[in-house]
Amino acid sequence: MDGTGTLRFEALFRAHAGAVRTYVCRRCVADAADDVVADVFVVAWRRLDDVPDDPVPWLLGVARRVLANRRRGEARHQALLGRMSSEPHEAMPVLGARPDVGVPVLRVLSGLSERDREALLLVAWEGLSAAQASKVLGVSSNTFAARLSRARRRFAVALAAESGPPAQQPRSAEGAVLR
Amino acid sequence: MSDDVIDLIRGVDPFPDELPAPPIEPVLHRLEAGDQRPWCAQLVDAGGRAALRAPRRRWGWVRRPSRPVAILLAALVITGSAAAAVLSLTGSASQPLAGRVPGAITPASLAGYHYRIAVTPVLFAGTAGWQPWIVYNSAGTNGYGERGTPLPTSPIFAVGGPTRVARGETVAYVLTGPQVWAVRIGSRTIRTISSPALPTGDRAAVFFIPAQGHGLFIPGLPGPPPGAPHPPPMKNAPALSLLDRFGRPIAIKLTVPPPPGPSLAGPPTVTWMSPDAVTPWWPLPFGTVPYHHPGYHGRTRPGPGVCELGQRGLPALHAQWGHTVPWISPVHDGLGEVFLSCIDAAYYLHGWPFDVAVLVDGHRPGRVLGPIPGARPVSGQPGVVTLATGRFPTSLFTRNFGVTAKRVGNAWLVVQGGSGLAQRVQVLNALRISKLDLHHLRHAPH
Repeated sequence: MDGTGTLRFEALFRAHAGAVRTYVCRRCVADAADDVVADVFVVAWRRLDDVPDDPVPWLLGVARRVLANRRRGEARHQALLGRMSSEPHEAMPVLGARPDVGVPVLRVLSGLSERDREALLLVAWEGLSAAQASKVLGVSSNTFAARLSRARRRFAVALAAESGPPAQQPRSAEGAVLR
Repeated sequence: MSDDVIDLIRGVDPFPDELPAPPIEPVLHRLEAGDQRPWCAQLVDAGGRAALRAPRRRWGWVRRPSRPVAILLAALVITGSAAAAVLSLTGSASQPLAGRVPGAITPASLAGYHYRIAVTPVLFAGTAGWQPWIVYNSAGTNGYGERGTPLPTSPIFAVGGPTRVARGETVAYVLTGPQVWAVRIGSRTIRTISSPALPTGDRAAVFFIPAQGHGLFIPGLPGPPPGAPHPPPMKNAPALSLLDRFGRPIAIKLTVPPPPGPSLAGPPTVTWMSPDAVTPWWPLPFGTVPYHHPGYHGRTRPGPGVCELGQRGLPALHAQWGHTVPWISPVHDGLGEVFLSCIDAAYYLHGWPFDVAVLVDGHRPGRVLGPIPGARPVSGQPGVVTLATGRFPTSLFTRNFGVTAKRVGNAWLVVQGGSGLAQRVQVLNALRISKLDLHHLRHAPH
């Protein structure tokens, strides 16, 4: 990479690493966040020519894939270790809990499908437009708009149920694996 | 309504303001070094990447998750060595369990890092064994490490350590039973050592190997499926063999443990889970969701068992799930010191997770236990010892695996995890062994 590329990469990092870091911290434990950010910018360096003029959706899309890869790898790692050590409860996710924010909204978010949740979070937390968010997810703007609409509706229904009597509370099927 | 939804979600944003950019140096170091993640993480990540890309046919049997034996085999091949690399081993004596990686300090190498190899007891009820760790530390760098496999019936009960870096040397270790006096790699022989950081009687061979190489092959494992090509690292790598005190080879019989669950040989494990058990972060790191699967209709309180735990004070400490066993099955074929867990439980204190267990002597439950390997007394806490492992930030499931314990009769009450030593001591002092019945022994069939 020539000097121009280096300068461009450094500028890209300084301008957007914070946004990528925030995105990652919202989706994985903080200790691993900087490692993921580094992975994202390693990809950015190697594909610098592919980075568009509006780089944030592109970078977040890479971060999303890096996180997905790590989660898959980690799940396999834990599954392997579980087989090797016969110690299945060690595979449970741990640390980073903040029970003070375990409010119904987060509970409902956690219970949504990953597709619905990501659509909502890209708009609400990352502050992206529908066009930008669609680039993160690699779908068309129309597809994202439909996805977001469905996610909003499901969130509202689930939140209403969450506020209802306990017997009617939806139970999350995700993260419920014990053994 | 729609805007309300977005506003509601925006209101629980854990990071309402953009975080500052992290330092760029780790990125530059990684670019220079290639990849510095632990070897096992790279292996499993390679499997993850294979799901996105078209897998290369040659490695397909390794990458397919449906072949656990193949993955296990791959995981037990120590990357980072080669026939040529073995020739450059600098001596025949094992390196110590804690030391410094030699060589010129560059960003792309582990040179200058301090390493420490430790083991902690396996806490899962009804099981016995040791969990190895390797932790590297350097100024400004947290430790990271790899978990291994406790196989008390094998001469080798743990192996691992190498980290793929661009230059220099990395650390490898083989932990063995008492009968192994040397490890041979190709034409070189490395004498094993004993250490207070190991279970009493067990031994270790620690050595430096060049980071770039073909690998180190451990025979005695299930091979690839019939007709499948041998992967290059195994084909070219020198094999590791074990020698007894007379220099005679010892057969390596690494066995794949049975999958988790009730075992015909061991006691049945009874699982319980509190109705308010939560997983603290999945799928969001700061959220909590019920752990209970909709189909869970199991116990919500600990079942009767040979060991039971009690709590006094510290109301914020909650037991969330755990396992009990109705009898104890001593370990017949264990090598060296073996601890056997008779109960385990997961507790939470202010959001921090802990694993708690009661350990008895694995060979003869009720006999006086040996020390926790490598553990040191805690000042101001008589009878309490601790072993720090550091945290493991390369994992999304990062946590602290430090262990703090105290003797209660002929058992260890062990607390693992939490935010650190102070919290573990706090939990330890709030718990007690309310039952320890060692009359229910059943010997597993040989």
